[in-house]
Amino acid sequence: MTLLDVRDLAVRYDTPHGVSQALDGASLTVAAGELVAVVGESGSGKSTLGMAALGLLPASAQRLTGDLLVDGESVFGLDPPRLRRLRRTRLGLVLQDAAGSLDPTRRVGRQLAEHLDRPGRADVLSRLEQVRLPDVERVARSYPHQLSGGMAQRVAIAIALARSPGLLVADEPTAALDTEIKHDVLRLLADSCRERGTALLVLTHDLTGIAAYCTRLVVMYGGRVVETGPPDDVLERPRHPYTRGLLHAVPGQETVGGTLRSIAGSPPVLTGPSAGCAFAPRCEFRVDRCDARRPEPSADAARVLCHRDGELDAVVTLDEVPEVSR
Amino acid sequence: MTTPVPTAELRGVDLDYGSGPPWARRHQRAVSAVSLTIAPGETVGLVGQSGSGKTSVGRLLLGLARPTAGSVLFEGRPLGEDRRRHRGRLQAVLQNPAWSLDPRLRCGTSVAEPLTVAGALPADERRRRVAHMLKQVGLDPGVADRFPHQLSGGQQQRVAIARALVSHPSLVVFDEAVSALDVSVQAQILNLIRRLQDEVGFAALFISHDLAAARYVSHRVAVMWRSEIVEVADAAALYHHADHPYTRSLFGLEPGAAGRR
Repeated sequence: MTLLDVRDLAVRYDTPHGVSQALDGASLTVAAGELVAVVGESGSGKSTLGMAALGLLPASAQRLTGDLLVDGESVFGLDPPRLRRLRRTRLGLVLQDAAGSLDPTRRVGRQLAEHLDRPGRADVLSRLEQVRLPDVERVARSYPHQLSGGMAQRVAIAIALARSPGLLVADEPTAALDTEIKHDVLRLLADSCRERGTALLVLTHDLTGIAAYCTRLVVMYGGRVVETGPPDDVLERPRHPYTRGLLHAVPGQETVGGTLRSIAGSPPVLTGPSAGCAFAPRCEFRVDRCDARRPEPSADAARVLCHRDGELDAVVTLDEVPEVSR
Repeated sequence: MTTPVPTAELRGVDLDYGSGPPWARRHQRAVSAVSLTIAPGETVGLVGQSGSGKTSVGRLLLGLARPTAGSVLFEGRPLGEDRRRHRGRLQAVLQNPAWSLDPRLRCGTSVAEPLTVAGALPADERRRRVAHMLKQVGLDPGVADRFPHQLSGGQQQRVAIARALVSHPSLVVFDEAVSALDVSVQAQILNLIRRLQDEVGFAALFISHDLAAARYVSHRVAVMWRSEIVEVADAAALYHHADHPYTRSLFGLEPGAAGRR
């Protein structure tokens, strides 16, 4: 059953400093209970997509085209009371800065109790135990600043999952955490969502780090989804040139004395719909039609957004291409 | 890579931070019995969790913190005796380029500042050196006339690196210099650091929580855990095995780094 359905959504921010096109025709569906990681760099539009799913876009955001449906209803068509109801009952959010998303002046046990149907002490403690916190009595009595970043994030997860939402959006939930804690928190997120049948939408820039915890990877670039698929397929057989480049650029898989192959240039800042493929200026496989026409997603499940999808493997594999000059 | 006079050396260094009022002073040990040498032209990676004391080691090497015990040597002589002597010889590149670039100064002025402070160079020579340095970090010399906010994050970090290298330092401390950058840009900067070191030949301390990135740019990697250095290994050796269980855990828990070799 489709829980989240994003249809060719384009969103633009109109600010006094200028216009920026955050989403440029993004399409994505998430089924109930699916664990999806949306991977993209800054400016790829992943946060805008996540916030749109929660109906949390700021007033400066303008929907140009497309729609976003949760449970078959457009979040853009809901009046404020019904939107609040949808968020309360069906949606959850975990932010990067957990300590910042908690109220610094109140004990975390009380903050958690607010979100429970039966806000008793026993229930609060068992919820804290569920997110694998040690010494739950002490944690419940603590203020947010008395908790480490990892513990605060676990409390935030307990709060977000308190009402077993249909969809949990986690925006860079581990970017501020140490490597070891990071993987504990991701595992907790994935396990908790699986137990409750909650769909998870993790927004992250860490392509390889998230792969072990999700059932599907979604790669975004320039406000569009450029490739999607099971983690193993995307990591082992990436099809979009951007995904390939990204995988080659991550330190850790080079050989001794080898060189990382970086992607030349930097991510685009779109001020309007892109005329062609947004990745074309950085792409080593670019041909004329890449600049002229917007690519359409491939017909199969991977929905690869590349004019040359299918041709590339026949032409060349990335390993044989010499380093692009910096 | 051994030479008689290392560029920088820590000998049994302790560093305590004090907090609280004088009558109830508490001391927190940030660095404990750390010994580390950096040879000329060598990059030493320093990895560990947050709070393990990595940045404190960087501050000690730069002379920004005085050791509680032990000694810090720079080019064979104790650091801190006459720090003016070291102007322009010690430089740092920080995580966020905004911390080292004044938003109200044009990038060229920022890059020239270490030369201006050191003095003794005519203005047109300074401009020539700045233009040359910007070219070396892969930027158009025209960037000198732009303000930081007109550049992308990766370009800003390149400007920060140019600023650090323009005075030909013998030691550069990179403190999480690539952590805030996008993955695709991160690789560009890592490659840039490697290339510049080959060309310019400075010694460097590369502080990072990312073992894979540190291994990539460094000749040797030191691993810090709870204020102590628990392992120092050749970067090449880290591609095959690591001795200390903590080092292994830094890799083992990173499916992206070790699992997908």
